[in-house]
Amino acid sequence: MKVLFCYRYGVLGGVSTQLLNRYTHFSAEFEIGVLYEADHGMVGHFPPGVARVAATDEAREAAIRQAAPDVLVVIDSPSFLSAWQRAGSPGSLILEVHTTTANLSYLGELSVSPGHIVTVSEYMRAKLGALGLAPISVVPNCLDERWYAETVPPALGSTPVAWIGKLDGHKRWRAAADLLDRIASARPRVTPLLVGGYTAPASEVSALTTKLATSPALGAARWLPRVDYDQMPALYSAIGANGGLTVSTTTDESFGMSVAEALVRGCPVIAPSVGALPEILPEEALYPPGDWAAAAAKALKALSDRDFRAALQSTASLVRERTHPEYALAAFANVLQRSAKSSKVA
Amino acid sequence: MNHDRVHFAYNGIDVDPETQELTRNRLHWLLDRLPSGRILDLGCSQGTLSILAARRGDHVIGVDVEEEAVAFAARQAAGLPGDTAGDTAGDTAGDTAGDTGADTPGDTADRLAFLRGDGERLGFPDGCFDAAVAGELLEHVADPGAVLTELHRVLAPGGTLLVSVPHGMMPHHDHRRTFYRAGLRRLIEPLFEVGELTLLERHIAAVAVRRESPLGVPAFQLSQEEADFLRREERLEEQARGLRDKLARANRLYRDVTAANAELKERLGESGANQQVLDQLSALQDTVTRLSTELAGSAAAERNELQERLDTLADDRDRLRAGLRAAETELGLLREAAGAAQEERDRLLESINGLTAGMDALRETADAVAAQRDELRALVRAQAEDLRAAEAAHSEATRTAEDAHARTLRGLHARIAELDEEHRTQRAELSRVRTVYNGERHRHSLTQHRLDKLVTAESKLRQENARLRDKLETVTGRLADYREQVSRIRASRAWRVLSVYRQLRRPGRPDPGQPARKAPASAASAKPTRTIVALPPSRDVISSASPAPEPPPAATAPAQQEQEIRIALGKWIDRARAAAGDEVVLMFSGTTFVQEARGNRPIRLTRVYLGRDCPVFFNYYRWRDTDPLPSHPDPLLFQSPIDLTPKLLDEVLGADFGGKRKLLFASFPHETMVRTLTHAASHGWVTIYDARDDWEEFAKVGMAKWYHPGFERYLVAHADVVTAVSAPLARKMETLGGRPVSVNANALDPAFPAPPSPRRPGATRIGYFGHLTDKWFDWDLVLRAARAHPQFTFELAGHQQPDLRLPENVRLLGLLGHLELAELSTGWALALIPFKNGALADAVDPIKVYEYLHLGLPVLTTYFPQCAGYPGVHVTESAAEFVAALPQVAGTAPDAAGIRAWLAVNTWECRVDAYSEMAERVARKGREGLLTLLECR
Repeated sequence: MKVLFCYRYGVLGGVSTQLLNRYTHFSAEFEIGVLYEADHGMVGHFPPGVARVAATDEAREAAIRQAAPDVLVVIDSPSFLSAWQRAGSPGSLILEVHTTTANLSYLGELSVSPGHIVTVSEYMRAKLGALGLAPISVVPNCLDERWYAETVPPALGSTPVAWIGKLDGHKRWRAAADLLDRIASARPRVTPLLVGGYTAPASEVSALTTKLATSPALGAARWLPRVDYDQMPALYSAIGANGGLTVSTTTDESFGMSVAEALVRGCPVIAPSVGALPEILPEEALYPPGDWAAAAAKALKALSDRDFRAALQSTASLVRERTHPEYALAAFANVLQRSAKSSKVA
Repeated sequence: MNHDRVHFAYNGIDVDPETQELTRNRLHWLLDRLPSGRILDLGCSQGTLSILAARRGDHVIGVDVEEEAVAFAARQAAGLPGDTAGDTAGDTAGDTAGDTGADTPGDTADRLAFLRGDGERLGFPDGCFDAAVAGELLEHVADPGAVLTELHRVLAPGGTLLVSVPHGMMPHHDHRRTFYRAGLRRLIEPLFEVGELTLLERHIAAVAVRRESPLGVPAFQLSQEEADFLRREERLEEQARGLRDKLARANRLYRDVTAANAELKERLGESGANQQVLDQLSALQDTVTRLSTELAGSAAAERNELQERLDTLADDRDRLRAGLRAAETELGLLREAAGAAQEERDRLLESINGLTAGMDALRETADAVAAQRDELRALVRAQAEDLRAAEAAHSEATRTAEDAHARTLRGLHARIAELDEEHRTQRAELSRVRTVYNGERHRHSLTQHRLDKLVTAESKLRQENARLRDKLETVTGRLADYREQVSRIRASRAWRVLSVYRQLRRPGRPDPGQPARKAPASAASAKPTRTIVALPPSRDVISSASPAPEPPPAATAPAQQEQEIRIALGKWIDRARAAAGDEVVLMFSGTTFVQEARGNRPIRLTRVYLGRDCPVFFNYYRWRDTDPLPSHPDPLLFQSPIDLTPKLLDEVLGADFGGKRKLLFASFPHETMVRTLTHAASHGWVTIYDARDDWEEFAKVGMAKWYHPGFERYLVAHADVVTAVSAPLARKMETLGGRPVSVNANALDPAFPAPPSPRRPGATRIGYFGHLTDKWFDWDLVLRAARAHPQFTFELAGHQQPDLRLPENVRLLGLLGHLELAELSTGWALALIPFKNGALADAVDPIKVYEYLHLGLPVLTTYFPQCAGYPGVHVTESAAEFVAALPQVAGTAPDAAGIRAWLAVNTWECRVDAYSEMAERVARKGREGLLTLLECR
């Protein structure tokens, strides 16, 4: 069965990485292809010929026509839907929904009828169900073998409190910087760490560097705009092993991939009680959205209370189980086969 | 016959001392527990206990079924001697009386009475005794239960009963039953509450109090365990009795034989004959003796065996007794608990009484409240009546009001219908207006969008215009310079001679000495290139015999350029990997591309690296993305414009350079470096932020408009190595990033031309080459110095000078090449660096200082802290000091050898060596703090 996954852009981390994580396992059972609108270094991680870039409408149409897939999986990328139609609607269509942002609005105005909807959490299932979409299956995000490999965490000389995400309002990087400032002010041995933002607009880069330059507690902060995905498991392990933790300030999460990654690597997380995060985090780790004082208090407690740190990681084994590629493969294979079957029947 | 001889036993008559002691102990135990008052001694026998009790002052009636015993007791009581031991009995009684200090025997007798009677049918009225004793009685009587019932009857309420019986089997012809402790308790308990039950050697004795209400009918019955034990006792007793009989028979036979033997001996002794018969008799006696001995031995063995079994039984009995004692202790505790429970019950009863009283009080209160309630109910009924009347009136009024309201409502509905109609009309109108408005708004937004684009375009055009104007000024200046030079040349005597000579040799050809009428524009002016000055070929270019410079490439479209540069990059990476040098450099420069006429720091460093066969990726700045890509003869140099570099960085940073050390120079704090620096570090690049100027101060004077303080601080904080060209700038960077910053100053390019001849003595010209912009060149100071020192001529080579009226002794030379400068410098008495004092100058380490010193010139500068220690450099601070120092420094001869030595260690090669050392340290030591995370895998 030929399955073609389509996504806006290929960049390490995030949704496009999911495709890479799935690839190893999925390719054993299906003929997999990946199509991006733009690439930021992701295509090269697939075997030659598997991933391609189709930057224009015409290129997307041609690529789909050429691939002639049995199943086309479009992930949060409406531009591929029209291309699929123009290409003669080959195979069956599955919409995979990861986004929780305004990008979701296109689902209310679909001109095509997807055979199946796939999403990543019960939270998203409820959200999509409310839009009248059906049938919906949940396939959690998965982590590849790198996330289970042993690493030797280095001694960092201070306790890192990290925030990982894009520099945008959805992830609330400004609130994150202020939260790290608050934590570092209360605990001098803490070093704030921000990871992500390589693709941020220049205005956001300017704003963040200004913030780092003008806050005394953030003076020692480190900002790593881009960290290779290969390095992330070791980075999380190092943070956890040095007594640190990660804080999240997100407004919404369809799954909470970076939170899951941290948990799998033994790094405690403090996060707002939004989106799907309560599905993977224990109650102790959650704070009311916008209650930065509560977030700071929990983070400070996690820095000094061993029992509390253990409680924060109490769901780690559950997350490990749910994010294993075999789990995702089984769920997705079921959806693909059903979808392909119904397509052939039609 | 008196079978019970208690009197004799008590007094030790015909009994062994042990029996006497046992008897005395038992009677005294009973006497000690016998309360005072009216006493009944049932089964009194010879009256010993009765007499003892009477002697201590009690009134005692002794009753016994044996007439003889009663008579004996009565005699004892009357002081008459008994049938065998009356005196002794009297002595004994007297001893006892004496012990208690009671009255005389006559008084005692008055309190005593002995009667013959049957214990089962006593002739006394109910409750006439305070206490009763039944000593060794119950084992004799036919029905002990009847006796106890009768005793219960004659005892007063709360009366005490003392009982003693033999413990276990005590063979006696008159004993009807055998008692054990439990059996006695069971017998007594229904009518009396046992307070004490104990063993007195071979007897059991009990103290009990009469129950007010009997618990049942008393009856003697052995338990199964007691019956078993009794049977064993009986068997043993039977065996012992058999043995005793055998022993008695043997003894009797022995006595008979011994007697017969003695008689025979006596008869034989008298006759003296028949010895044989005697011998036979003696043998017979021996035989009898032997038989007797054997019999005795057998009996003894059997006795011993029996004794052992008896001991075993005694042990069993003792164990049973110990169990019984434990049970009694338990019973005592239970009794105490029962007492406590009784107290609690009494307390509760009291409490109940109190509650009952409280309840009565509450009932009284409730009655009072009920009375009040009845009154209130009556009142409420009356008010309800009133309310019903008022409600009826109100209903009537409401009906009237509702009628009026319905009428009004109908009117309002009609009005609403009218208004709805009006509203619909207005909405339709509004919708139409909205449509018009939306259209207008859309048109407006389109117009606005176009306007914005125009504004943007205008801004760009203005910038372009300004740039072109600057360029025009430069070209105009250069043209003026050329014209002036041409004029000078043409005015010179040599040129005139040459012209005459040419005219003479080729008459008729136009005179090149004369201005062309309309000369075609030169290639340089018609087609501007990046090379601002067409320099004469330098010595190194000549010596390297490099190919002739390629013609400038034509402008190409950005997409095509990107494709071309990607292809070129792949080839360059291959060459770089194969290069001989051990380092590869990514020089992120904000200058122009590498060209011979340019000598800024990134280009100087690049040249050194290239000279060491180290490949260099050189980022340069260009104004337009359509500008052609530059070419360079060195295949190890790859030049990328800043608009394309970000698209190539991933490939460059991740490329395999064959194990070379990778150095990334952020030569100016650009946003691209902020995004890239740590990513490069994670790919093994040693990152260097090289602060070559105080960009913040440049931005303040309108230059370096790209400058953002956050970017520079970020680079200082996150780079592996930070260097600055001067100590003041290094201190500023240290403050900015909170980390150590090394000074790696500017330097001399040894290829800079040397003066062609020695400096002329007595020279009166003072020189300068470099930028002439008034943003930092202190024109006021130079003009002041020129006016103050008219004996000197000031020669200024450079561009971008402002439009000023210059004194006669100030000459502008325009841009000159290095060779020209070297030649010109031989006529200079002094070289100047007259920059405006300020933060900008504080941070600067002018490259021209090194070049002036290389040309052998003394140097006079305004305030440059970095240069204060340089040899041959005179740093001043105030304008007056500068002006005053000028004639003093001019013409002086610097320490040439010292300066040469100093310059030898201040070359660009040295600077590159310093960077290699710093990179080596980073590689060796590794990163620190959270930047260690960049090395995590």
